[in-house]
Amino acid sequence: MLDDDDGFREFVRARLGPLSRVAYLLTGDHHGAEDLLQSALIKLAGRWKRLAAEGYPEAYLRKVLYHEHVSAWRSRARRPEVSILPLADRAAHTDEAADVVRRLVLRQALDKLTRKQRAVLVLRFFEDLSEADTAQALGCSVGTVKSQTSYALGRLRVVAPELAQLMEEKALR
Amino acid sequence: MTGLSELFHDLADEAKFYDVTEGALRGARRRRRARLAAAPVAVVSVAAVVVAGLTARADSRPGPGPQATPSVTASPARVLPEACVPQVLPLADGYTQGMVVGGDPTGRLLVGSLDVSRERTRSVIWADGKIQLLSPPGTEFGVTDINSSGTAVGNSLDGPQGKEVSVAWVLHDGQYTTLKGEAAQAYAINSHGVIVGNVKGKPAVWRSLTAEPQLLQTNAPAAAVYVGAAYDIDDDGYITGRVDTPRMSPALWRPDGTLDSLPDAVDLAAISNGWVLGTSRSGPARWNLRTRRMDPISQAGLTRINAQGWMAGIHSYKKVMLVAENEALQLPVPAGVPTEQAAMTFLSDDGLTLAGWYGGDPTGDEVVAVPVMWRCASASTTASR
Repeated sequence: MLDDDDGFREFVRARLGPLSRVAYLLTGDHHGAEDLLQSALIKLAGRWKRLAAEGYPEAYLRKVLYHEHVSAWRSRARRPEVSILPLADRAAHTDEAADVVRRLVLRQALDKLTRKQRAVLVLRFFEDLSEADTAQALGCSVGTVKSQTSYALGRLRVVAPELAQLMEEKALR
Repeated sequence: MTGLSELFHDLADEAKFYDVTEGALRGARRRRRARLAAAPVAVVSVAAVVVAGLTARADSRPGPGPQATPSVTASPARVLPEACVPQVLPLADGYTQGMVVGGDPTGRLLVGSLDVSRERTRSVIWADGKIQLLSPPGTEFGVTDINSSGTAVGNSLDGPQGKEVSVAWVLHDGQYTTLKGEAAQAYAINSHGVIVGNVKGKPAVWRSLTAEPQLLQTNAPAAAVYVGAAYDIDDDGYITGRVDTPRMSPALWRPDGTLDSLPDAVDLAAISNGWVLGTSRSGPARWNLRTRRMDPISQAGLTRINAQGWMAGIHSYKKVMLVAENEALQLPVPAGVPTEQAAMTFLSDDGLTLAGWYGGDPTGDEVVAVPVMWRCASASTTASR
Protein backbone atom coordinates (compact mmCIF):
# COMPACT_ATOMS: atom_id res chain seq x y z
CA MET A 1 0.00 0.00 0.00
CA LEU A 2 2.83 2.31 0.92
CA ASP A 3 4.49 1.65 -2.42
CA ASP A 4 1.26 2.47 -4.26
CA ASP A 5 0.92 5.75 -2.37
CA ASP A 6 4.52 6.72 -3.06
CA GLY A 7 4.09 6.00 -6.75
CA PHE A 8 0.97 8.18 -6.76
CA ARG A 9 2.80 11.01 -4.94
CA GLU A 10 5.65 10.91 -7.42
CA PHE A 11 3.31 10.94 -10.41
CA VAL A 12 1.31 13.87 -9.08
CA ARG A 13 4.33 15.91 -7.92
CA ALA A 14 5.75 15.93 -11.43
CA ARG A 15 2.49 17.26 -12.89
CA LEU A 16 1.08 19.49 -10.20
CA GLY A 17 2.22 22.75 -11.80
CA PRO A 18 0.48 22.24 -15.17
CA LEU A 19 -2.51 20.60 -13.48
CA SER A 20 -2.93 23.61 -11.18
CA ARG A 21 -2.95 25.93 -14.18
CA VAL A 22 -5.62 23.93 -16.00
CA ALA A 23 -7.76 23.67 -12.86
CA TYR A 24 -7.54 27.43 -12.37
CA LEU A 25 -8.53 28.16 -15.97
CA LEU A 26 -11.49 25.81 -15.72
CA THR A 27 -12.83 27.18 -12.45
CA GLY A 28 -11.61 30.78 -12.40
CA ASP A 29 -10.83 30.88 -8.69
CA HIS A 30 -8.35 29.36 -6.28
CA HIS A 31 -10.85 27.59 -4.03
CA GLY A 32 -12.62 26.05 -6.98
CA ALA A 33 -9.35 25.00 -8.60
CA GLU A 34 -8.10 23.32 -5.44
CA ASP A 35 -11.45 21.63 -5.01
CA LEU A 36 -11.60 20.40 -8.61
CA LEU A 37 -8.04 19.12 -8.54
CA GLN A 38 -8.60 17.27 -5.29
CA SER A 39 -11.80 15.64 -6.59
CA ALA A 40 -10.02 14.47 -9.72
CA LEU A 41 -7.02 13.17 -7.79
CA ILE A 42 -9.26 11.30 -5.34
CA LYS A 43 -10.65 9.39 -8.30
CA LEU A 44 -7.18 8.78 -9.66
CA ALA A 45 -5.92 7.58 -6.27
CA GLY A 46 -8.89 5.21 -5.99
CA ARG A 47 -7.86 3.42 -9.17
CA TRP A 48 -4.15 4.09 -8.99
CA LYS A 49 -3.01 0.50 -8.69
CA ARG A 50 -4.80 -0.62 -11.83
CA LEU A 51 -4.07 2.53 -13.84
CA ALA A 52 -0.38 2.50 -12.94
CA ALA A 53 -0.18 -1.17 -13.98
CA GLU A 54 -1.84 -0.41 -17.31
CA GLY A 55 0.52 2.51 -17.87
CA TYR A 56 -2.03 5.21 -18.79
CA PRO A 57 -2.73 7.23 -15.63
CA GLU A 58 -2.11 10.51 -17.47
CA ALA A 59 -4.92 10.07 -19.98
CA TYR A 60 -7.29 8.97 -17.23
CA LEU A 61 -6.42 12.00 -15.10
CA ARG A 62 -7.03 14.48 -17.90
CA LYS A 63 -10.35 12.85 -18.69
CA VAL A 64 -11.50 12.80 -15.10
CA LEU A 65 -10.38 16.41 -14.47
CA TYR A 66 -12.42 17.73 -17.39
CA HIS A 67 -15.32 15.42 -16.69
CA GLU A 68 -15.41 16.53 -13.06
CA HIS A 69 -15.46 20.13 -14.19
CA VAL A 70 -18.11 19.77 -16.89
CA SER A 71 -20.48 17.69 -14.79
CA ALA A 72 -19.96 19.59 -11.56
CA TRP A 73 -21.87 22.42 -10.03
CA ARG A 74 -19.39 23.08 -7.24
CA SER A 75 -18.37 26.65 -7.86
CA ARG A 76 -21.76 27.72 -9.12
CA ALA A 77 -22.53 30.06 -6.31
CA ARG A 78 -24.82 33.05 -6.37
CA ARG A 79 -21.76 35.20 -6.23
CA PRO A 80 -18.75 34.62 -8.45
CA GLU A 81 -15.61 34.03 -6.49
CA VAL A 82 -12.54 35.96 -7.45
CA SER A 83 -9.30 35.90 -5.54
CA ILE A 84 -8.66 39.13 -3.69
CA LEU A 85 -5.39 39.09 -1.84
CA PRO A 86 -2.72 38.22 -4.39
CA LEU A 87 -3.64 41.03 -6.76
CA ALA A 88 -4.54 43.62 -4.15
CA ASP A 89 -1.05 43.29 -2.72
CA ARG A 90 0.60 44.12 -5.98
CA ALA A 91 1.64 47.63 -6.88
CA ALA A 92 -0.59 49.02 -9.60
CA HIS A 93 1.98 49.93 -12.25
CA THR A 94 0.42 51.08 -15.47
CA ASP A 95 1.50 48.10 -17.56
CA GLU A 96 0.54 45.73 -14.86
CA ALA A 97 -2.83 47.40 -14.46
CA ALA A 98 -3.52 46.88 -18.16
CA ASP A 99 -2.65 43.20 -17.76
CA VAL A 100 -4.91 42.93 -14.76
CA VAL A 101 -7.81 44.44 -16.65
CA ARG A 102 -7.24 42.15 -19.62
CA ARG A 103 -7.22 39.07 -17.41
CA LEU A 104 -10.34 40.30 -15.66
CA VAL A 105 -12.18 40.71 -18.92
CA LEU A 106 -11.29 37.17 -19.94
CA ARG A 107 -12.27 35.78 -16.55
CA GLN A 108 -15.61 37.59 -16.60
CA ALA A 109 -16.28 36.40 -20.13
CA LEU A 110 -15.39 32.79 -19.33
CA ASP A 111 -17.83 32.87 -16.44
CA LYS A 112 -20.61 33.46 -18.94
CA LEU A 113 -19.91 30.28 -20.87
CA THR A 114 -21.29 26.87 -20.05
CA ARG A 115 -18.86 24.50 -18.39
CA LYS A 116 -18.51 22.43 -21.52
CA GLN A 117 -17.78 25.46 -23.69
CA ARG A 118 -15.20 26.65 -21.22
CA ALA A 119 -13.56 23.22 -21.13
CA VAL A 120 -13.47 23.05 -24.93
CA LEU A 121 -11.71 26.42 -25.12
CA VAL A 122 -9.15 25.47 -22.46
CA LEU A 123 -8.40 22.18 -24.21
CA ARG A 124 -8.15 23.73 -27.67
CA PHE A 125 -6.45 27.05 -26.95
CA PHE A 126 -4.51 26.45 -23.72
CA GLU A 127 -3.63 22.78 -23.88
CA ASP A 128 -3.37 23.11 -27.66
CA LEU A 129 -5.07 19.75 -28.30
CA SER A 130 -6.50 18.72 -31.66
CA GLU A 131 -10.27 18.43 -32.09
CA ALA A 132 -9.96 14.64 -31.92
CA ASP A 133 -7.97 14.69 -28.68
CA THR A 134 -10.34 17.26 -27.20
CA ALA A 135 -13.27 15.01 -28.08
CA GLN A 136 -11.55 12.09 -26.37
CA ALA A 137 -10.81 14.08 -23.21
CA LEU A 138 -14.42 15.24 -22.97
CA GLY A 139 -15.91 11.93 -24.00
CA CYS A 140 -17.90 13.49 -26.83
CA SER A 141 -17.86 13.49 -30.63
CA VAL A 142 -15.60 15.64 -32.82
CA GLY A 143 -18.76 17.26 -34.15
CA THR A 144 -19.70 18.35 -30.65
CA VAL A 145 -16.23 19.81 -30.14
CA LYS A 146 -16.60 21.80 -33.36
CA SER A 147 -20.03 23.14 -32.55
CA GLN A 148 -19.16 23.93 -28.92
CA THR A 149 -15.97 25.74 -29.97
CA SER A 150 -17.81 27.80 -32.51
CA TYR A 151 -20.63 28.65 -30.13
CA ALA A 152 -18.20 29.45 -27.30
CA LEU A 153 -16.16 31.84 -29.45
CA GLY A 154 -19.33 33.47 -30.70
CA ARG A 155 -20.58 33.91 -27.19
CA LEU A 156 -17.24 35.35 -26.06
CA ARG A 157 -17.57 38.01 -28.74
CA VAL A 158 -21.07 38.81 -27.55
CA VAL A 159 -20.43 38.97 -23.82
CA ALA A 160 -17.04 40.66 -24.13
CA PRO A 161 -16.66 42.66 -27.33
CA GLU A 162 -13.60 44.29 -25.75
CA LEU A 163 -12.00 40.84 -25.59
CA ALA A 164 -12.42 40.31 -29.31
CA GLN A 165 -10.68 43.63 -29.76
CA LEU A 166 -7.84 42.52 -27.49
CA MET A 167 -7.49 39.29 -29.41
CA GLU A 168 -7.26 41.20 -32.66
CA GLU A 169 -4.71 43.64 -31.22
CA LYS A 170 -2.55 40.76 -30.04
CA ALA A 171 -2.79 39.07 -33.39
CA LEU A 172 -1.59 42.24 -35.11
CA ARG A 173 1.52 42.62 -32.98
CA MET B 1 -7.14 32.98 -32.57
CA THR B 2 -3.56 32.92 -31.25
CA GLY B 3 -4.51 35.93 -29.13
CA LEU B 4 -6.84 33.75 -27.10
CA SER B 5 -4.09 31.22 -26.47
CA GLU B 6 -1.81 33.97 -25.14
CA LEU B 7 -4.60 35.35 -22.98
CA PHE B 8 -5.17 31.91 -21.49
CA HIS B 9 -1.48 31.61 -20.63
CA ASP B 10 -1.54 35.06 -19.01
CA LEU B 11 -4.57 34.07 -16.96
CA ALA B 12 -3.00 30.74 -15.98
CA ASP B 13 -0.11 32.68 -14.43
CA GLU B 14 -2.52 33.63 -11.66
CA ALA B 15 -2.82 29.97 -10.62
CA LYS B 16 -1.18 28.88 -7.42
CA PHE B 17 0.40 25.50 -6.71
CA TYR B 18 -2.54 23.51 -5.34
CA ASP B 19 -0.84 20.73 -3.44
CA VAL B 20 -3.77 18.47 -2.67
CA THR B 21 -1.88 15.18 -2.99
CA GLU B 22 -2.25 14.06 0.63
CA GLY B 23 -5.87 15.22 0.74
CA ALA B 24 -6.58 13.13 -2.35
CA LEU B 25 -5.00 10.03 -0.81
CA ARG B 26 -7.06 10.51 2.36
CA GLY B 27 -10.20 11.11 0.28
CA ALA B 28 -9.64 7.94 -1.72
CA ARG B 29 -9.27 5.93 1.49
CA ARG B 30 -12.44 7.47 2.93
CA ARG B 31 -14.35 6.63 -0.25
CA ARG B 32 -13.13 3.07 -0.24
CA ARG B 33 -14.32 2.63 3.34
CA ALA B 34 -17.64 4.34 2.62
CA ARG B 35 -18.26 2.18 -0.44
CA LEU B 36 -17.66 -0.94 1.61
CA ALA B 37 -19.88 0.21 4.46
CA ALA B 38 -22.78 2.05 2.86
CA ALA B 39 -25.84 0.76 1.14
CA PRO B 40 -27.57 3.11 -1.29
CA VAL B 41 -30.40 5.15 0.21
CA ALA B 42 -33.36 6.39 -1.80
CA VAL B 43 -33.35 10.21 -1.79
CA VAL B 44 -36.80 10.30 -3.40
CA SER B 45 -38.58 8.90 -0.38
CA VAL B 46 -37.00 11.57 1.82
CA ALA B 47 -38.24 14.28 -0.56
CA ALA B 48 -41.79 12.98 -0.38
CA VAL B 49 -41.86 13.34 3.39
CA VAL B 50 -40.57 16.89 3.19
CA VAL B 51 -43.58 18.41 1.48
CA ALA B 52 -45.89 17.22 4.24
CA GLY B 53 -43.56 18.54 6.92
CA LEU B 54 -43.33 21.95 5.32
CA THR B 55 -47.04 22.35 4.76
CA ALA B 56 -47.74 21.46 8.35
CA ARG B 57 -45.49 24.18 9.70
CA ALA B 58 -46.83 26.96 7.45
CA ASP B 59 -49.76 27.88 9.69
CA SER B 60 -47.89 27.90 12.94
CA ARG B 61 -45.20 30.37 11.85
CA PRO B 62 -44.96 33.68 13.63
CA GLY B 63 -45.73 36.68 11.44
CA PRO B 64 -42.84 37.64 9.17
CA GLY B 65 -41.60 41.12 8.50
CA PRO B 66 -38.41 43.11 8.68
CA GLN B 67 -39.87 45.40 11.36
CA ALA B 68 -39.87 42.44 13.74
CA THR B 69 -36.10 42.17 13.60
CA PRO B 70 -34.12 43.51 16.54
CA SER B 71 -31.74 46.41 16.05
CA VAL B 72 -28.00 46.00 16.08
CA THR B 73 -27.45 48.04 19.21
CA ALA B 74 -30.11 46.22 21.21
CA SER B 75 -29.19 42.76 19.99
CA PRO B 76 -30.57 40.39 22.61
CA ALA B 77 -28.35 37.64 23.96
CA ARG B 78 -30.39 34.85 22.43
CA VAL B 79 -29.11 31.35 22.60
CA LEU B 80 -28.76 29.33 19.44
CA PRO B 81 -31.51 26.85 18.63
CA GLU B 82 -30.97 23.44 20.09
CA ALA B 83 -32.56 21.15 17.57
CA CYS B 84 -32.33 21.56 13.79
CA VAL B 85 -33.97 19.05 11.49
CA PRO B 86 -32.70 18.73 7.92
CA GLN B 87 -35.17 18.23 5.08
CA VAL B 88 -34.51 17.53 1.43
CA LEU B 89 -36.54 19.95 -0.72
CA PRO B 90 -38.61 18.52 -3.58
CA LEU B 91 -37.55 18.79 -7.24
CA ALA B 92 -39.90 19.20 -10.19
CA ASP B 93 -40.77 16.26 -12.45
CA GLY B 94 -38.03 15.46 -14.93
CA TYR B 95 -35.27 17.20 -12.97
CA THR B 96 -32.63 15.35 -11.02
CA GLN B 97 -30.61 18.01 -9.22
CA GLY B 98 -31.28 21.18 -7.29
CA MET B 99 -29.56 23.87 -5.27
CA VAL B 100 -30.86 26.58 -2.97
CA VAL B 101 -29.14 29.92 -3.66
CA GLY B 102 -31.03 32.28 -1.35
CA GLY B 103 -34.30 33.18 0.33
CA ASP B 104 -36.38 35.91 1.91
CA PRO B 105 -35.50 37.02 5.47
CA THR B 106 -38.46 35.16 6.98
CA GLY B 107 -37.39 31.85 5.49
CA ARG B 108 -40.81 31.21 3.97
CA LEU B 109 -39.56 31.65 0.39
CA LEU B 110 -36.39 30.01 -0.90
CA VAL B 111 -34.98 30.39 -4.41
CA GLY B 112 -32.71 28.07 -6.33
CA SER B 113 -31.88 26.36 -9.57
CA LEU B 114 -32.51 22.88 -10.91
CA ASP B 115 -30.13 20.89 -13.12
CA VAL B 116 -27.37 23.49 -13.12
CA SER B 117 -24.76 20.97 -14.22
CA ARG B 118 -26.81 19.84 -17.19
CA GLU B 119 -26.75 23.13 -19.04
CA ARG B 120 -30.46 23.63 -18.78
CA THR B 121 -30.71 25.63 -15.61
CA ARG B 122 -34.25 26.22 -14.36
CA SER B 123 -35.01 28.75 -11.66
CA VAL B 124 -37.45 27.82 -8.92
CA ILE B 125 -39.09 29.18 -5.81
CA TRP B 126 -39.88 26.93 -2.85
CA ALA B 127 -42.78 28.64 -1.05
CA ASP B 128 -43.46 26.83 2.20
CA GLY B 129 -41.74 23.88 0.61
CA LYS B 130 -43.98 23.83 -2.46
CA ILE B 131 -41.97 24.12 -5.65
CA GLN B 132 -42.83 26.66 -8.34
CA LEU B 133 -40.99 26.70 -11.69
CA LEU B 134 -40.07 30.11 -13.09
CA SER B 135 -40.05 31.03 -16.78
CA PRO B 136 -38.01 34.19 -17.16
CA PRO B 137 -36.97 35.51 -20.58
CA GLY B 138 -33.89 34.10 -22.34
CA THR B 139 -31.43 31.36 -21.49
CA GLU B 140 -31.14 31.23 -17.76
CA PHE B 141 -28.16 31.90 -15.58
CA GLY B 142 -30.53 31.50 -12.66
CA VAL B 143 -32.49 33.28 -9.96
CA THR B 144 -30.34 35.10 -7.39
CA ASP B 145 -32.56 36.50 -4.62
CA ILE B 146 -36.10 37.07 -3.34
CA ASN B 147 -37.65 39.40 -0.75
CA SER B 148 -40.50 38.81 1.70
CA SER B 149 -43.09 40.25 -0.71
CA GLY B 150 -42.17 37.49 -3.15
CA THR B 151 -40.34 39.71 -5.65
CA ALA B 152 -37.50 37.66 -7.16
CA VAL B 153 -34.51 38.71 -9.25
CA GLY B 154 -32.28 36.75 -11.59
CA ASN B 155 -30.24 36.80 -14.76
CA SER B 156 -30.48 35.46 -18.28
CA LEU B 157 -28.81 35.69 -21.63
CA ASP B 158 -31.30 37.06 -24.14
CA GLY B 159 -31.55 38.53 -27.62
CA PRO B 160 -31.30 37.36 -31.22
CA GLN B 161 -28.86 34.49 -31.80
CA GLY B 162 -25.29 35.73 -32.03
CA LYS B 163 -26.29 39.04 -30.43
CA GLU B 164 -27.28 37.86 -26.96
CA VAL B 165 -26.66 40.13 -24.00
CA SER B 166 -27.08 39.52 -20.31
CA VAL B 167 -30.38 40.79 -18.94
CA ALA B 168 -31.51 41.16 -15.35
CA TRP B 169 -35.11 40.16 -14.74
CA VAL B 170 -37.55 40.74 -11.91
CA LEU B 171 -40.58 38.59 -11.09
CA HIS B 172 -43.17 40.78 -9.37
CA ASP B 173 -46.86 39.90 -8.95
CA GLY B 174 -46.49 37.13 -11.50
CA GLN B 175 -45.03 39.41 -14.19
CA TYR B 176 -41.48 39.40 -15.52
CA THR B 177 -39.85 42.79 -16.03
CA THR B 178 -36.44 43.36 -17.57
CA LEU B 179 -34.40 45.91 -15.68
CA LYS B 180 -33.14 48.92 -17.59
CA GLY B 181 -29.49 49.20 -18.54
CA GLU B 182 -27.26 47.52 -21.08
CA ALA B 183 -25.74 44.15 -20.08
CA ALA B 184 -27.40 44.25 -16.67
CA GLN B 185 -27.07 41.70 -13.89
CA ALA B 186 -29.04 41.60 -10.62
CA TYR B 187 -27.69 39.93 -7.51
CA ALA B 188 -29.86 41.01 -4.58
CA ILE B 189 -33.11 42.73 -3.62
CA ASN B 190 -34.09 44.24 -0.24
CA SER B 191 -37.48 44.47 1.48
CA HIS B 192 -38.24 47.80 -0.22
CA GLY B 193 -37.65 46.34 -3.67
CA VAL B 194 -34.30 48.09 -4.23
CA ILE B 195 -32.11 45.91 -6.45
CA VAL B 196 -28.32 45.84 -6.81
CA GLY B 197 -25.99 44.34 -9.39
CA ASN B 198 -24.07 45.82 -12.26
CA VAL B 199 -24.61 47.42 -15.65
CA LYS B 200 -22.02 46.89 -18.35
CA GLY B 201 -19.51 45.88 -15.71
CA LYS B 202 -20.18 48.82 -13.39
CA PRO B 203 -21.75 48.45 -9.91
CA ALA B 204 -25.33 49.72 -9.99
CA VAL B 205 -28.55 50.08 -8.03
CA TRP B 206 -32.15 50.16 -9.29
CA ARG B 207 -34.45 52.09 -6.93
CA SER B 208 -37.56 50.47 -8.44
CA LEU B 209 -38.58 47.98 -11.11
CA THR B 210 -38.89 50.67 -13.73
CA ALA B 211 -36.06 53.00 -12.61
CA GLU B 212 -32.98 53.72 -14.66
CA PRO B 213 -29.93 52.15 -13.01
CA GLN B 214 -27.88 54.47 -10.82
CA LEU B 215 -24.15 53.77 -11.06
CA LEU B 216 -22.48 53.47 -7.67
CA GLN B 217 -19.43 55.59 -6.93
CA THR B 218 -16.03 53.98 -7.61
CA ASN B 219 -12.47 55.17 -8.04
CA ALA B 220 -12.10 53.29 -11.32
CA PRO B 221 -10.65 55.14 -14.30
CA ALA B 222 -13.33 56.26 -16.74
CA ALA B 223 -11.98 53.98 -19.48
CA ALA B 224 -12.09 50.82 -17.34
CA VAL B 225 -13.88 47.99 -19.18
CA TYR B 226 -14.89 46.04 -16.10
CA VAL B 227 -15.24 47.75 -12.74
CA GLY B 228 -17.13 45.42 -10.42
CA ALA B 229 -20.54 44.63 -8.99
CA ALA B 230 -22.79 45.13 -5.99
CA TYR B 231 -23.75 41.80 -4.47
CA ASP B 232 -25.91 42.52 -1.44
CA ILE B 233 -28.14 45.28 -0.07
CA ASP B 234 -29.42 45.93 3.44
CA ASP B 235 -32.95 47.13 4.18
CA ASP B 236 -31.59 50.60 5.07
CA GLY B 237 -29.93 50.83 1.65
CA TYR B 238 -26.30 50.09 2.54
CA ILE B 239 -24.69 48.02 -0.21
CA THR B 240 -21.73 45.64 -0.29
CA GLY B 241 -19.82 44.52 -3.35
CA ARG B 242 -16.48 44.32 -5.02
CA VAL B 243 -14.52 46.63 -7.24
CA ASP B 244 -11.82 45.10 -9.42
CA THR B 245 -10.06 48.20 -10.65
CA PRO B 246 -7.75 50.08 -10.10
CA ARG B 247 -7.15 47.49 -7.37
CA MET B 248 -9.25 44.52 -6.36
CA SER B 249 -11.00 45.58 -3.21
CA PRO B 250 -14.24 45.11 -1.30
CA ALA B 251 -16.72 47.96 -1.56
CA LEU B 252 -19.24 49.40 0.85
CA TRP B 253 -21.69 52.01 -0.41
CA ARG B 254 -23.94 54.33 1.57
CA PRO B 255 -27.65 54.36 0.72
CA ASP B 256 -27.08 57.35 -1.60
CA GLY B 257 -24.53 55.38 -3.64
CA THR B 258 -21.38 57.11 -2.40
CA LEU B 259 -18.39 55.05 -1.32
CA ASP B 260 -17.96 54.24 2.34
CA SER B 261 -15.08 52.18 3.69
CA LEU B 262 -14.26 49.58 6.32
CA PRO B 263 -10.58 49.74 7.25
CA ASP B 264 -8.76 46.41 7.02
CA ALA B 265 -11.55 44.71 5.04
CA VAL B 266 -10.29 42.54 2.19
CA ASP B 267 -13.63 40.97 1.26
CA LEU B 268 -17.27 41.63 2.14
CA ALA B 269 -19.61 38.67 1.69
CA ALA B 270 -23.01 39.77 3.00
CA ILE B 271 -24.89 42.52 4.84
CA SER B 272 -27.95 42.42 7.10
CA ASN B 273 -29.42 44.94 9.57
CA GLY B 274 -26.15 46.81 9.91
CA TRP B 275 -24.02 43.68 10.28
CA VAL B 276 -21.42 42.96 7.61
CA LEU B 277 -19.79 39.55 7.20
CA GLY B 278 -16.44 39.41 5.48
CA THR B 279 -12.73 38.94 5.76
CA SER B 280 -10.26 41.32 7.35
CA ARG B 281 -6.49 41.33 6.95
CA SER B 282 -6.32 39.09 10.00
CA GLY B 283 -9.02 36.62 8.92
CA PRO B 284 -12.82 36.15 8.97
CA ALA B 285 -14.60 39.08 10.60
CA ARG B 286 -17.93 40.69 11.35
CA TRP B 287 -18.43 44.46 11.37
CA ASN B 288 -21.11 46.46 13.15
CA LEU B 289 -21.79 49.40 10.82
CA ARG B 290 -23.24 51.61 13.55
CA THR B 291 -20.31 51.34 15.93
CA ARG B 292 -17.80 50.49 13.15
CA ARG B 293 -16.46 47.83 15.49
CA MET B 294 -14.83 44.77 13.90
CA ASP B 295 -14.97 41.40 15.63
CA PRO B 296 -12.75 38.54 14.47
CA ILE B 297 -14.58 35.25 13.87
CA SER B 298 -12.93 31.98 14.80
CA GLN B 299 -14.80 29.93 12.19
CA ALA B 300 -13.72 30.17 8.56
CA GLY B 301 -16.11 29.55 5.68
CA LEU B 302 -19.15 31.49 6.94
CA THR B 303 -21.15 32.89 4.03
CA ARG B 304 -24.48 34.24 5.33
CA ILE B 305 -25.41 36.70 8.09
CA ASN B 306 -28.84 37.58 9.49
CA ALA B 307 -30.47 40.57 11.20
CA GLN B 308 -29.27 39.41 14.60
CA GLY B 309 -25.69 39.12 13.40
CA TRP B 310 -25.79 35.32 13.45
CA MET B 311 -23.77 33.66 10.74
CA ALA B 312 -23.92 30.38 8.84
CA GLY B 313 -21.60 28.57 6.52
CA ILE B 314 -19.46 25.54 5.95
CA HIS B 315 -16.74 25.51 8.54
CA SER B 316 -13.99 23.05 7.80
CA TYR B 317 -14.87 20.22 5.47
CA LYS B 318 -18.64 19.66 5.19
CA LYS B 319 -19.46 20.93 8.68
CA VAL B 320 -22.51 23.17 8.38
CA MET B 321 -22.37 25.67 11.20
CA LEU B 322 -24.65 28.26 12.74
CA VAL B 323 -22.64 30.78 14.72
CA ALA B 324 -23.71 33.52 17.13
CA GLU B 325 -21.27 35.51 19.23
CA ASN B 326 -19.21 32.81 20.91
CA GLU B 327 -21.63 30.00 20.34
CA ALA B 328 -21.53 27.58 17.44
CA LEU B 329 -23.90 24.82 16.46
CA GLN B 330 -23.12 22.06 13.98
CA LEU B 331 -26.13 21.07 11.89
CA PRO B 332 -26.99 17.44 11.14
CA VAL B 333 -26.54 16.07 7.64
CA PRO B 334 -29.75 14.73 6.07
CA ALA B 335 -29.79 10.99 5.55
CA GLY B 336 -29.03 9.64 2.11
CA VAL B 337 -27.46 12.72 0.49
CA PRO B 338 -24.01 12.71 -1.10
CA THR B 339 -21.66 14.74 1.06
CA GLU B 340 -18.56 15.35 -1.04
CA GLN B 341 -19.59 18.99 -1.45
CA ALA B 342 -21.79 21.33 0.51
CA ALA B 343 -22.77 24.99 0.45
CA MET B 344 -24.72 27.12 2.89
CA THR B 345 -26.66 29.80 1.05
CA PHE B 346 -29.46 30.95 3.35
CA LEU B 347 -30.06 31.94 6.98
CA SER B 348 -33.35 33.48 8.10
CA ASP B 349 -33.53 36.51 10.41
CA ASP B 350 -34.94 34.46 13.27
CA GLY B 351 -32.09 31.98 12.83
CA LEU B 352 -34.55 29.09 12.63
CA THR B 353 -34.43 28.36 8.89
CA LEU B 354 -31.22 27.56 7.05
CA ALA B 355 -30.74 26.24 3.54
CA GLY B 356 -28.10 25.17 1.07
CA TRP B 357 -27.20 22.07 -0.83
CA TYR B 358 -25.18 18.90 -0.64
CA GLY B 359 -23.69 17.09 -3.57
CA GLY B 360 -21.27 14.57 -4.84
CA ASP B 361 -20.72 11.73 -7.20
CA PRO B 362 -21.45 8.66 -5.10
CA THR B 363 -21.54 6.16 -7.96
CA GLY B 364 -18.76 7.68 -10.05
CA ASP B 365 -21.25 8.03 -12.91
CA GLU B 366 -23.06 11.28 -12.39
CA VAL B 367 -22.84 14.29 -10.12
CA VAL B 368 -25.92 14.97 -8.05
CA ALA B 369 -26.89 18.06 -6.06
CA VAL B 370 -29.59 17.95 -3.42
CA PRO B 371 -31.33 21.09 -2.09
CA VAL B 372 -31.59 21.01 1.68
CA MET B 373 -33.38 23.10 4.29
CA TRP B 374 -33.04 22.98 8.07
CA ARG B 375 -35.85 23.98 10.42
CA CYS B 376 -34.72 24.64 13.95
CA ALA B 377 -36.64 24.88 17.20
CA SER B 378 -35.52 27.81 19.33
CA ALA B 379 -34.33 27.08 22.84
CA SER B 380 -37.41 28.80 24.33
CA THR B 381 -39.80 26.81 22.11
CA THR B 382 -38.15 23.59 23.18
CA ALA B 383 -38.42 24.54 26.85
CA SER B 384 -42.12 25.47 26.69
CA ARG B 385 -43.11 22.14 25.17
